[in-house]
Amino acid sequence: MAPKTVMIVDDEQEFLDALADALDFNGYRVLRCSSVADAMHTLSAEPVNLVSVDIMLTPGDAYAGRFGSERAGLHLIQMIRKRYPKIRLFALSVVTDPSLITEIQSYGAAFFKKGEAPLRTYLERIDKALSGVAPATSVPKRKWR
Amino acid sequence: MRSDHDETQQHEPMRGDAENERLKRRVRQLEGQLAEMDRQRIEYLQNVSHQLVAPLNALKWHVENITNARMGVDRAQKALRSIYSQATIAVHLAKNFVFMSNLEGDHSLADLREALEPISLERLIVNLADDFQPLGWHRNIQIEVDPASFREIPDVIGMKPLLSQVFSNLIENALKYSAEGTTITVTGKPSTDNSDSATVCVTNCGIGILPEDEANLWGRGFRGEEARNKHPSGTGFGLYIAKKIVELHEGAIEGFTDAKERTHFVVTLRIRGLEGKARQWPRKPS
Repeated sequence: MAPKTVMIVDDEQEFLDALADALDFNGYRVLRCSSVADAMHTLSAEPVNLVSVDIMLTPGDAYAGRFGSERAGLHLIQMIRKRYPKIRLFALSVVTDPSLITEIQSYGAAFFKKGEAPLRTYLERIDKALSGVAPATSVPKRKWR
Repeated sequence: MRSDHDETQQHEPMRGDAENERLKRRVRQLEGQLAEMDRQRIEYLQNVSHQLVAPLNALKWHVENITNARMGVDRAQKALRSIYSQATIAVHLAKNFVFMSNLEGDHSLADLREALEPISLERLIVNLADDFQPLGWHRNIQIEVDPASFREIPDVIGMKPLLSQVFSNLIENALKYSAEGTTITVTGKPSTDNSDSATVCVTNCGIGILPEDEANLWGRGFRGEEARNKHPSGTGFGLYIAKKIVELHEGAIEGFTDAKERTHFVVTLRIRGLEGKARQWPRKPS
């Protein structure tokens, strides 16, 4: 059976590597992106079941100047929610500002404080979010609004 | 008979009112400054916390991976290298924050309670390059030290932990802001005049320094706009600390980007200038 696909969007290479390795061990197909631009480009070409996004993120050249890096991940979540509503969303942040968490959750994304929980806990949550979900095999049709 | 005191009482209310108003304005101004300092202090502490916690959390996740029975030797080796890199970063950042605390006052070298000793710049920089090189692997960035360029530079008298931090900060910045697939070069040069000094230059290609930012480069917490956008995390204290340390050693530091978009950080250190001071303090045991 084809594996489910998780895309990790994080510009901190060490976190990205650790999470990617763990997901790979657990039988997921893993896509790695380090900016908003990179992530949107990948989503237009690859089938994805779940996206894990760091809120503090490099916008990338295509989005340079449109928003700052402190909440670039939130902008990415907004875009994914609008264009690819079936993709599950997880958000990671070291900042636990209640208004930020509320906003993240309003887009249907699950929030996690980055690095606080053991890796296995995060993996369990991904497993749970994708249980009963068929592996993505085609690039999702983009919703135009 | 009216006394001088009576006359003084007549004039005091007018002077007192104006003086009171002036003092009230001054108190409000100081309260505003205090609130701003408090805000900056909280922001600084949050930044410190994030900067230190990030590599340690990544380190924990790599350790968790290594304990997975299915991990092969190659992946375990890669994870161990990542752990070493993250530990290097954590130590480097912790030292920066310690130095920030120590350097904020108007200190002299004597206040810092470290021994002055002869330092081989070549050995210092080669060791630092080895420590930081793993951080460049994932973006194919090489650090090259030109050992021949250091051959004619005698040992510099200085505080090794502090001078080590100067070059750590410059190399770490170069790694952070270099374009993928490029090379960071570190070269040394003895003085060509009789100034009894030596220079070390750290050169990289990538995010450069805008001419309008050159003056602000050494400011506490300053980061250029492109640097902030491409690398959200960062305190902006590395160059501030480097300059403070170099100046304590009676040296100089400058940074600029040339017409070929290469960024150079040039540190000039006095070779013998601190030797007399070294004799006054306990020598580091050899």
